[in-house]
Amino acid sequence: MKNLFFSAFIVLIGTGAAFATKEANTKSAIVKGYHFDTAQGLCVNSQEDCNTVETAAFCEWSEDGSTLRTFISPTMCGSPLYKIQ
Amino acid sequence: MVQYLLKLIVLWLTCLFTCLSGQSETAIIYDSIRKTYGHYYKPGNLQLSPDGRWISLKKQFKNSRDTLLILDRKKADQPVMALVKRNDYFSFIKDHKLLVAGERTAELIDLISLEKMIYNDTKQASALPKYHHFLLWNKDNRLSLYGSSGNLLNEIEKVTHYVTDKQQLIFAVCKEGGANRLTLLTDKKAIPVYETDSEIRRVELTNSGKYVTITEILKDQPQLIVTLVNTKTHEITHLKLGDSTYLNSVKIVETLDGNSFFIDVDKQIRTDIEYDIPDIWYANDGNLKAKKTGSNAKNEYYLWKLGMLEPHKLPSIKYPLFAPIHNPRYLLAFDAYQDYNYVTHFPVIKIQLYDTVIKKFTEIFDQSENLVASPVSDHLLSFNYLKKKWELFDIKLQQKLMIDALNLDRPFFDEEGKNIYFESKNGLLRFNIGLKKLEVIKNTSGLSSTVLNFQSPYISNYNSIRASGLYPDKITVIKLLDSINKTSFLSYHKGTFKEIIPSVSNLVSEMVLTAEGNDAFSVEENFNLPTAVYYHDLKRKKKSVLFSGNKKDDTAALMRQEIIHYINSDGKSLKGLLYYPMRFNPFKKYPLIVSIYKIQHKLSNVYFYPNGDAVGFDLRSLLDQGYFVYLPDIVFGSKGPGLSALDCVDSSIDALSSYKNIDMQKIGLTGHSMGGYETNFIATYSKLFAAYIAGSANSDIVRTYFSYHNDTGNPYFWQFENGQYEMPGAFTDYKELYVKNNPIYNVDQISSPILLWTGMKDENVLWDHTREFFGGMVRNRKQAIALFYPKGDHNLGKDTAESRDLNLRNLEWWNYFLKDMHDVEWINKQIKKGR
Repeated sequence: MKNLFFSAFIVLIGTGAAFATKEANTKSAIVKGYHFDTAQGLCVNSQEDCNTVETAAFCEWSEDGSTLRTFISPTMCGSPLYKIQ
Repeated sequence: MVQYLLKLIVLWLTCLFTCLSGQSETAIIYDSIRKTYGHYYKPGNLQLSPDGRWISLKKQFKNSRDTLLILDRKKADQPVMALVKRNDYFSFIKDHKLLVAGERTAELIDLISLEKMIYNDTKQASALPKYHHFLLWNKDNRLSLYGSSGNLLNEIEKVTHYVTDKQQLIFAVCKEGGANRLTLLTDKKAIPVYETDSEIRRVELTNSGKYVTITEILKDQPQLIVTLVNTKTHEITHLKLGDSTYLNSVKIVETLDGNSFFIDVDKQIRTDIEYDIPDIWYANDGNLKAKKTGSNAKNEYYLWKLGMLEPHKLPSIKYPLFAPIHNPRYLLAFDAYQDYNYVTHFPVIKIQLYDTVIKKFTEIFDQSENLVASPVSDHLLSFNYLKKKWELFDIKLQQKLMIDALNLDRPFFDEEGKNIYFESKNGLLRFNIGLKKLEVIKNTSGLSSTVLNFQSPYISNYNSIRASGLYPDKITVIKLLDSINKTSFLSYHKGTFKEIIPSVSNLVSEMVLTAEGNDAFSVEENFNLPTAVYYHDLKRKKKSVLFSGNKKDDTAALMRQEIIHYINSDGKSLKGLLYYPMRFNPFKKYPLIVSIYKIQHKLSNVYFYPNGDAVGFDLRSLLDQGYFVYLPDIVFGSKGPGLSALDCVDSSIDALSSYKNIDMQKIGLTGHSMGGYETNFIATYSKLFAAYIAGSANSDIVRTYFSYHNDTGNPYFWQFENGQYEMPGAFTDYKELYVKNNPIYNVDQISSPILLWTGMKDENVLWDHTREFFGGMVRNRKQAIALFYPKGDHNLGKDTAESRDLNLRNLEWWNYFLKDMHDVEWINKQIKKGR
């Protein structure tokens, strides 16, 4: 296997400013939202994205309006997630 | 007007009667508001029939979504039918044939003749649209296959599980005596293909439809077996996966070439049983989450390729978690909890690439906060936590490069894996992987972009690892939002972008295209326009109302809103949304309620309707009761969250100084959660407000910072250092900033009455913060009342008994202090008695 090559090729575009605020950087905290499927007893990926950083509204599953959550284990969903704004 | 006067007279008479019985005037008013809650809903969850003629939607009431409406594109505002409590299953099985199920009943509906066939005692339904067939599994465990006219084609008994590819394949497990028999069901035959006396835990069909996978535990011994049944040849393969003790679940992922399988055996080892007295916590433990769940996950991974005698167990001691990617030779491997310091919501991890041929790990990413794999090519993207930039790794070339731009948000690989599209607040960007060139897509610059539909095939359940790409065979819709909340839409298909919907000032919550892309349907609303469904003829560029939504809301069109511009002390331009009281009289003064959170101007085109709001803030009803309502923006700067909120709110109120209809002596401030913390903080400094309401609010941020957060199972540092509080760093390095922004330290300075509330099951902001802040006011002899709701969580639920109580008390509180309606016994107990 070859060594990793860290490219020196850098593309600079206008979207990046020298200073990124905390708020600007929190978008990377977007994760998959899960809901608990009682029929199967499983914590299931809703295919909807949510924010881990708290916003004014919970991330809701479009099917039934329930709050989407983090994944803990296949049979356990975790803490609530928030709507991407 | 006459109706309104009559309503007032009735209210007054009722008031006269019931006031004598001890109920407040506000309680009577609230009672009449509450009775209207059931009138309001928003249509949503659009689904189209294959030919795009029929559209289903759900009526989204605050606390239920159990009514489906079926619309005909050719007949505006004339729903074909309403279906109540048929929420469990919904599918078109032919252009005009619909299958729905719910409450143990299935219905096959012909949308042209409106004839229905009803199937009682149905516990599960599945459509097989390829041949217009459908399946019903009933309470007696009979599985029946029907044709599109509802004619029975075939059925089998004693079914315990079934799987289908939703096209044509149906496999069912029938249990007879001690034996489980896997049977292939067709419209003419039931062919047994496999039999076992083991306990069957799960039956699945692989994505390709080539295999049925069966998770089994051997009879009389704790041994886990995964059985693969070839759906064409019916060849059986058993994979022995060892001891099944502690088994939680098994996930089987077929590689894209269909030649090998990745098997994830999830075991949960109970820690609370094995280590109960004392429970020992270690400062170097990166997985304190296990303290919350009471168990430690232990995953065992296996790879099996066609032709191998035994599955290969992966070496998961050093890197306990694996994830498959597009290239079947390689896997991702990582340790999610090694060195986790809890300053981010999820661990920032090192990602290894595991070569299954030479059995070697190579570190490819460090500081990975988010990983996105291409579903179609040998590329991986990782968001570097320290540099705040995406890094791209090419597996074939074994090369890595950094995409040198900040503020690139969600990435999506294109259908060929040659480009990556990034959402951003400044347009949709395309990174050409071959040319290493990043550019803004034409006509998107300055607009916030969101990709609405994309594929995300399973690679891992670990929240921050995913595969994400654009569909090769579907049109992708991209939403663009400008700085004044106007929305437009682009379509993308095989490298070509088209503008499909020009800029509209409404909030567009859904946009669905027909398969050919000639027509579209949208769900839109505005602050003065109830949510409605629109049809877009994209060829003729015509838009028409398909369903007007809530016609009972006949006053929404009378709502008035102004956008107020102001500048905070850091020179930042901000906006506030000012809503006028209903029936506004320019010769009168009105009280003002200010509700705060963070940025709120994006709510400018949200349709608000009366409801038993989960946090007790019913904007629409406050307008109806004669209040101005104001939603100013707050941004956090170097002063810290509390002082920044104070500064922004002060500036926002200054901007209203020329509004002579606002009674500046009668202003209330309210907020929930982060808004509650800000309200608590502002109350300790400001003299602008006559009363406050703070809900689910932190009162001591230093204590919160060091707390173990039960909701996430982590210490709470991340929420301050990389989360909502936007602190520049750790408490250790910014002690003065944390202290200066801590409401509890200045609780003695509160000068106006405050109503505090919390749900006692709140694990997000611990409920005792409310009791603590209340304690501070008791000690300093302040005017305060605290409401503790025993069932409430971080909110009190949508239109629950507790939320209705809170909505009433909030209205009574505002009416008491801002409208001098003092006939409220529970408030007088504090205020009249005083301290």
